[in-house]
Amino acid sequence: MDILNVQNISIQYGNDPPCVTGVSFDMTEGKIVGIVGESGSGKTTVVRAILGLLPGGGRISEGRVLFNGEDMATYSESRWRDVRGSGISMIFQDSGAMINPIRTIGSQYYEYIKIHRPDMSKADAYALAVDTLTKMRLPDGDNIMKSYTYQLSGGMRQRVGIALAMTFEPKLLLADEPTSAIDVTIQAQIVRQMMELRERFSTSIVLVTHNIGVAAYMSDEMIVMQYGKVMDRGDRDTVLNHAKSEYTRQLLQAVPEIGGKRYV
Amino acid sequence: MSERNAILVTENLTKTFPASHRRILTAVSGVSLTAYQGETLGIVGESGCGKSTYVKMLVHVIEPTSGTITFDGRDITNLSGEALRQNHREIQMVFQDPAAAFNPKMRIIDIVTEPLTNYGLLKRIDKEDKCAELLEMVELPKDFMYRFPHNMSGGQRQRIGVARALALSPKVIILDEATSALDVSVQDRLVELLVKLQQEKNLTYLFICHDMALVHCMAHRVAVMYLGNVVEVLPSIEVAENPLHPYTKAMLGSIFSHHMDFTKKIESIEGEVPSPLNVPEGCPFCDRCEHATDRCRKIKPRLTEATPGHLVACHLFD
Ligand SMILES: Nc1ncnc2c1ncn2[C@@H]1O[C@H](COP(=O)(O)OP(=O)(O)OP(=O)(O)O)[C@@H](O)[C@H]1O
Ligand SMILES: Nc1ncnc2c1ncn2[C@@H]1O[C@H](COP(=O)(O)OP(=O)(O)OP(=O)(O)O)[C@@H](O)[C@H]1O
Ligand code: SF4
Ligand SMILES: [Mg+2]
Ligand SMILES: [Mg+2]
Repeated sequence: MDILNVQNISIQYGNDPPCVTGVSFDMTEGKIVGIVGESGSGKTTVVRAILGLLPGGGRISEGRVLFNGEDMATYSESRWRDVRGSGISMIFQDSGAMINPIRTIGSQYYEYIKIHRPDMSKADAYALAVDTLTKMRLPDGDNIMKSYTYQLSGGMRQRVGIALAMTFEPKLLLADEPTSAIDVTIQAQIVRQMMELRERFSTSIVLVTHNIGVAAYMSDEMIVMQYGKVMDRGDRDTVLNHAKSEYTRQLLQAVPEIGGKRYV
Repeated sequence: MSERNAILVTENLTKTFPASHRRILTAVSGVSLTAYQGETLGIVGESGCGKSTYVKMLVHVIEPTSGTITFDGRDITNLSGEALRQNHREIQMVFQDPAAAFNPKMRIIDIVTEPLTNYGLLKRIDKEDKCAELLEMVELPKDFMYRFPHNMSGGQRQRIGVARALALSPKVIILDEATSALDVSVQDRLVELLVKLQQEKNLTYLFICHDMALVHCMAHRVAVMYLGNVVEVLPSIEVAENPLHPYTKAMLGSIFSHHMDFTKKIESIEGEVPSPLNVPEGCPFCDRCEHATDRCRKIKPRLTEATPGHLVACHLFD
C-alpha cells in the first residue's frame, strides 16, 4: 500500500488566487520523490501542506492528502501531534528560524525527544541527541548542545534541523532544501545519510531542492514545478533527457557547471 | 595588472569567541586577503569555517579580535560614529539569513528603500517608484512591495536582500550565500545582472557561495577557507585546471551534477570532523589529509605563491 497519496491538491493563501493547482504524486515505502523548479512555484507550500503546517491563512482548497490511506483532513489535533515527528518529519527550508533563538539547542532537542519518547531517561536522550548531531558531521556535539542559534553558522543550524528531523527514523521525511547552506563535502555526507535512512528503515523522502544534481542522484521520481503546476515528471532519464516542457529544458540549461558558461 | 586598486584589504584578521567549558573557539585565524576594485572575489569553504564571521567583520557587525581592515587605502578597523556610518554607504552586505536580517514588521517597500532613507537620499514621493525599480531588477513583481517578508518564498525573500544592497550603489557588495535559495534559471539572470552592474560601475563583490561551479563561473579569483584559515587563493579559471590544495581537490570531487555517473558511490572526506575549538597545531587539514606527514602535524604551512597569482598553504608546495 502507498504511504502517501497527494491527490490533485490546490492551495491558496488567504484570498490570493491558488498558488498551487492540481498537484498529485504517490509515495510507496522507500520511494524518493525530488521536487525542483522555479523560486516561488509552490514547492515549500506543497510539503508544508502535507504536514498540515501551512502558515498565514494557507489552506488546501481542493484535493486531498492521504497518509497510510487515511485522509489527513480528518485528523484531530492529537492525531497530528502523533504523526508529526515519528510518522512524518520535516526539515524546514529555513531551519535557523524554526529553532528558538533564546534557548540552547540542547534544551530544545531534549524537549523534542521528550515529546516523542516520554519514557526515555535524560542521559539517554542527551546521548541520542549528541549521536545524531555527530552523524550530521557537526563537530563537538557537546558544544553544539550548549550553543544558541546565533553562535552557529548557517550550515550548522541547518544540520541541527536535519538531525532533529532524522532522530526517530521517520516513515516519511519531508526535506525542504536540506543542503542549500552546506558545503559540497558535507552535502555529500548528508545525501549519504538520507540514502541510508531509506535503506535501513525504508523511509520515503520528499526532497525539495534547487540542486538538480542532488535531485537526480537521489530521486526515483523527479517533479518539475513552475507557477504552482507540475511541468514535467518521471524518472531521472525522462526528466533530464526527454523533458516535455520548455521550462524544464531552460532550467537544465541554466545549471552552472565547471567548464560551462562563464559570466566574467 | 600591478596598477589594480586594492580596495578592501585585511591583514591577519582574527576572531575568537568564548565557548563552553571556558574554551576558546577560533572562528577566523589570521586571514590576509585583498579584493581589487572591479573584481569578484569568491570565497568557498567548509560550513562553519569562518566565512560569515570574516565578512561580518568587514561591515563592523562583529568586532575583530586582532588584525586590520583597510578600505580604499584607509584603516577602517576601528571606525565609529559618523565616519562608520558614512563607510557603510560604500560597503553593503547581503546577509546569509534573510529571515534574521529583516524586521518582520516592516513591509518590503520600507526594507528595500531603508538604506536610501537613512542617508536622506530618497524623497517620500519617489519611494514607490524606486522600490518598483529595485524589485524589477531582481525579477519580483512590483506589487510585492506591500507584502511582509514572511509572506514570500525563500528565494523571493533572498532577492529582497539583494535589491536592498543594490539601492545605495556602494563600491563593495558582500554577498553571503545570496543565491542559495534561487532556482538556477533565476540565479542565472541575477548573476548576469550583477556582472553587468559590475562592469558599468566598477563594483567589487565578495561572493560567498557553496556552489563551486557557480563561483568558478562568476568570480575572477577564488579564496578557499578551511577551519578559519585561507588555504588557497587562485584565479577562477585554475579551479578546474589546476587546484593544488588537497581540501580544494576534495571539494571538487564532491560536486553533484546532472551529468554525473549516477551509479557511482558518493565520495566524501573521511576522518574526524575538525572543530574550531581544537585547531591542530600544524596544518588545519592534517587530520583528514591523505598526504599528511609529521611535518604537517607540527608546522603550520604558510600561504605562499606556487605560480604567479596562485597562493597555497600546503607543505606539498613549499
Ligand atoms: N505565508 C504566505 N502568505 C501569502 N503568500 C505566500 C505565503 N508563503 C508563500 N506565499 C506565496 O506562495 C507562492 C509559493 O511559495 P513557496 O514558498 O511555496 O515557493 P517555493 O517554490 O518554495 O519557492 P523557493 O524556491 O523560493 O523557496 C509564492 O509566490 C509566495 O510569494
Ligand atoms: N556569535 C558567535 N558566538 C560564538 N561562536 C560563533 C559566533 N558566530 C560564529 N561562531 C562560530 O564560528 C565558527 C564560524 O562560523 P561562520 O558563521 O563564520 O561559518 P561559515 O563559514 O559562514 O559557515 P556556513 O557556510 O555554514 O555559513 C562556527 O564554529 C560558529 O559556531
Ligand atoms: S600541509 Fe600536509 S596535511 Fe596540510 S594539506 Fe598539505 S599535505 Fe595535507
Ligand atoms: Mg521554498
Ligand atoms: Mg555563513
